[in-house]
Amino acid sequence: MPFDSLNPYHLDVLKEITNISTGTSISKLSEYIDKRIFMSVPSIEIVRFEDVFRFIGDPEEEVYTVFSRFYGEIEGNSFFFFKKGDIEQLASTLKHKMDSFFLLTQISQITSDSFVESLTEFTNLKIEQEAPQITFDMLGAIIEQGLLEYSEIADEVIFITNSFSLDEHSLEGHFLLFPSPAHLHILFTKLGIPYDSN
Amino acid sequence: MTQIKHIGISDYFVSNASQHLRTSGLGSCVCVILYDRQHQLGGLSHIMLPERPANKKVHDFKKYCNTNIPLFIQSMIDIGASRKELQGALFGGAEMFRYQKNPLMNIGKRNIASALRILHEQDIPVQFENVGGRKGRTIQLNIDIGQILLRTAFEEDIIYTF
Repeated sequence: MPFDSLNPYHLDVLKEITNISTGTSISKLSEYIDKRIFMSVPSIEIVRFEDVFRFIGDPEEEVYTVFSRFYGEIEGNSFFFFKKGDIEQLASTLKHKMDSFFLLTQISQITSDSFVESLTEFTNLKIEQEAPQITFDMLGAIIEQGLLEYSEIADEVIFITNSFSLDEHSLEGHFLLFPSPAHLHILFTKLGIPYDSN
Repeated sequence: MTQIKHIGISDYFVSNASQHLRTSGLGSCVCVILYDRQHQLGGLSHIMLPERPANKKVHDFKKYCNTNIPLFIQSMIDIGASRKELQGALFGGAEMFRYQKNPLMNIGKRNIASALRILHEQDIPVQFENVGGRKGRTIQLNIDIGQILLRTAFEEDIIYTF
């Protein structure tokens, strides 16, 4: 399997990278909305595609999603999920009133820009990014696309979840990362960490 | 109340009229339904990818249209369906997000084409089709009355009756 060479230390490194990158985007977001956001310790799992749905909740629930692909020396998808009620309520409580879609556009720009920026800075990898896309639809259908992009080359995915909360509003980020051993090799080499992909 | 059996990704299930079959939040994957009206038998398959790569060692035959559908048909026959009576329906294959870098990546479209081709090769008439677009779908087959219920986020539910 492509991820057999990963030991717990490697997973911790991946977790920390995500933690720093999402931490940066969350603090930028927090500045923008002028509210404090709490972030929990991320979890990292290597999961079979079929099992991903157990980690994310009801596949039929309709959620707002900010989706972005990044590619280059590492590849992956980032998803930020927001419950409908949460985002609407958040929009209405902000100092500068705005509608929920505009708020999401702002959030998507802030979160995905700073995520990739921080990832690049920390890892020194060349990473490019597609413009973020926003949608409102069933959770399962949204995640499915992220999985399918990698399912032709792998059966498992590194699945990293960060949860955030803001008062009683919950914000959640999911990251699907690093599908190929080659990418992992480049990443760990740049970080000076031994990684044997054979 | 008839029990609802949930079918996940890369899986299929065949049954008699004692339960409803449902798959939730279908995106770029495709859902194939087989139904034998005469014997009140039905099945639902949630398939991930179009074709099994020839060079790939595969342990999961349910993952690809070209390996899943023939097995799925056989399972219908194994529980007593008649090959000649089998009718089909196809859902899903959406593109939830555009591929900006590589538009040819559209797996949803490839899934639809592949499923239709294999159903055709297997002589299964496709009675109903609701595919493509940019929306998630939830599909439920009520075997007892031969009805398919299609739910999407924005539109009214649609009912198809075999």
